[in-house]
Amino acid sequence: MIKFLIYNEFQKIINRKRTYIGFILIGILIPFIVGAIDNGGNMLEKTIYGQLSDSFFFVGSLINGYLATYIIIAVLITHMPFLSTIVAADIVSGEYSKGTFRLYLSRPISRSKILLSKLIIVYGYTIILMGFFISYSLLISVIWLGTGELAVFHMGLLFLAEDDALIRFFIAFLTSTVVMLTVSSLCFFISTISKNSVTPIIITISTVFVGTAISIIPIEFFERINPYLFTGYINSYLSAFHDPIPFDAILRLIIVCFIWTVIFLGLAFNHFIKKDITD
Amino acid sequence: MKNNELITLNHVIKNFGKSKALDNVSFSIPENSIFGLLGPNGSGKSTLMRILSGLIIKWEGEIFFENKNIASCQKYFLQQCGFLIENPTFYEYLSAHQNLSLLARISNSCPEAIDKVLSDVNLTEDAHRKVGDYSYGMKQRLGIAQAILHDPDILFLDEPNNGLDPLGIQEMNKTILGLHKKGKTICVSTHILNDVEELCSDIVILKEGKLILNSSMEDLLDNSRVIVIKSKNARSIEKYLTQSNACRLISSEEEKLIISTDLNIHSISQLIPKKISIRSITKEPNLTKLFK
Repeated sequence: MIKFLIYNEFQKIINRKRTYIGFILIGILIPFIVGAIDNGGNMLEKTIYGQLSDSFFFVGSLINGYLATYIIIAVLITHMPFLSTIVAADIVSGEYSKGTFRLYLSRPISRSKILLSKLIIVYGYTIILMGFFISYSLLISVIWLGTGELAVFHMGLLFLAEDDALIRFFIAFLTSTVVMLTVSSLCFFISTISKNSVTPIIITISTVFVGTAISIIPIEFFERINPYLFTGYINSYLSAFHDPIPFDAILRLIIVCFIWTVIFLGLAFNHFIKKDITD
Repeated sequence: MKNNELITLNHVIKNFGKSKALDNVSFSIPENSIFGLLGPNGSGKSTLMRILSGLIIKWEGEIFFENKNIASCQKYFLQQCGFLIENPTFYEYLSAHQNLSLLARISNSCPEAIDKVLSDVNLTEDAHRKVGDYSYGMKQRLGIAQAILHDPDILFLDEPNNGLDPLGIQEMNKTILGLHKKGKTICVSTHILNDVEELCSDIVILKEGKLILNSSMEDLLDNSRVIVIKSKNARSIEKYLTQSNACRLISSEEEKLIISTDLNIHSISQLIPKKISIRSITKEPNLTKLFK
């Protein structure tokens, strides 16, 4: 039965225009950014390496597809929660508000299976969106600017081998997706208690916004609680570009996100299973 | 001969905060009947339908289906039932066929059933149009189609004629009678009394969450039998009349009793002690007056 439920949810989202908003935005925006990096390459290089040029002599251009992808991820990763919540926000609350649960929940199927099928679709969407974001950025950037060593800042200037770049981007995809799945779980939970699809987006984004602020503001109390908040890990993709890659930090990220995800899903299932559908 | 009782509600209570949507409601739905669930807006009809359909989970009391408590056999109960609850709602960005496909997959219905039910409600030609482009009447017919998709034995139709024009109402009633002829037990909730007289074999009337009348249409529409007594002491009168085998209580309210009897008005008044003041004793010619 669960495969039919998943197929139903899949059919619902592929027939909705809002599902494609994130992909269209990324599809349009990334070529623009890559084009801008290509055009403003010299200026960018001067900005990045300005202070180092007194001590080092650089031969050739440091701008390549890998660096462009790294910059794109850095610029857009904090905005990805907006896009990843588009489907999650509406998937349950939309059915309350339109009254379609009256059709669906009066059938002989358990509510937990219905909610599980929706969750699988939300997670599938989030993973595909994140995969599209990083792979499309890489594809456009590499086609446009070619490949080369990846120069990043981490405890000074760090040159990462060209051969390692793809695996590092894959690890960046995994870490950022884990965080984004937690964000989607929060949005999914709010969707089960909200009767419109705007509230889950507002609450989720506000939470991410406040959490990000906590991770930035240098106050001792915030610094103490930040490691336990999933919002503090939104920029954790950066750890994929450290040398060596800090797998213990990535494991900590996974544990924190997993705990928050279990909390959000526990609340979502508990609420949905006991909820009276009165709309 | 009285039909078998298919569904029995015992002391069903549902509160929304401090307001009582259903207040200790008990009645039975006979098998193969067209059962009318009547009452003005806000009387608890839809709440009852939602309880039966499993949409409302938190309620008190017991409901039995085929003498089994539905709490222990809800999946089986829902397999035997089709529901059209309030106004029809569908995934408007999908076609009628796609909407029914979604529901067929989770109702153990074969894909061929979709074409059949669409044909039953005259929507074959519009099957691949988006439901968002449908008129209200078409959506209502599609609502019936989804309810009968898995060929249930019992249908619960909540205000099926709501928002339909006279021709649409006529068609809907024809559809309901057609389904009844196929052997289905149908429970229709409505506040349109003409529908009730045309369709129903048994009715209950709910008012402010309370059951105020439970009768067969035969009893109700027999003008010579139904008598309405209005008095401030209706409860006392009820005691005296129910002691007599000649009267059957149809409905009892604070200041109003409805009884079915072969006795005339004069004989009835003889049964009530003179010390109890009576405002009026009348024969009721139709359902509309009983409903007031």
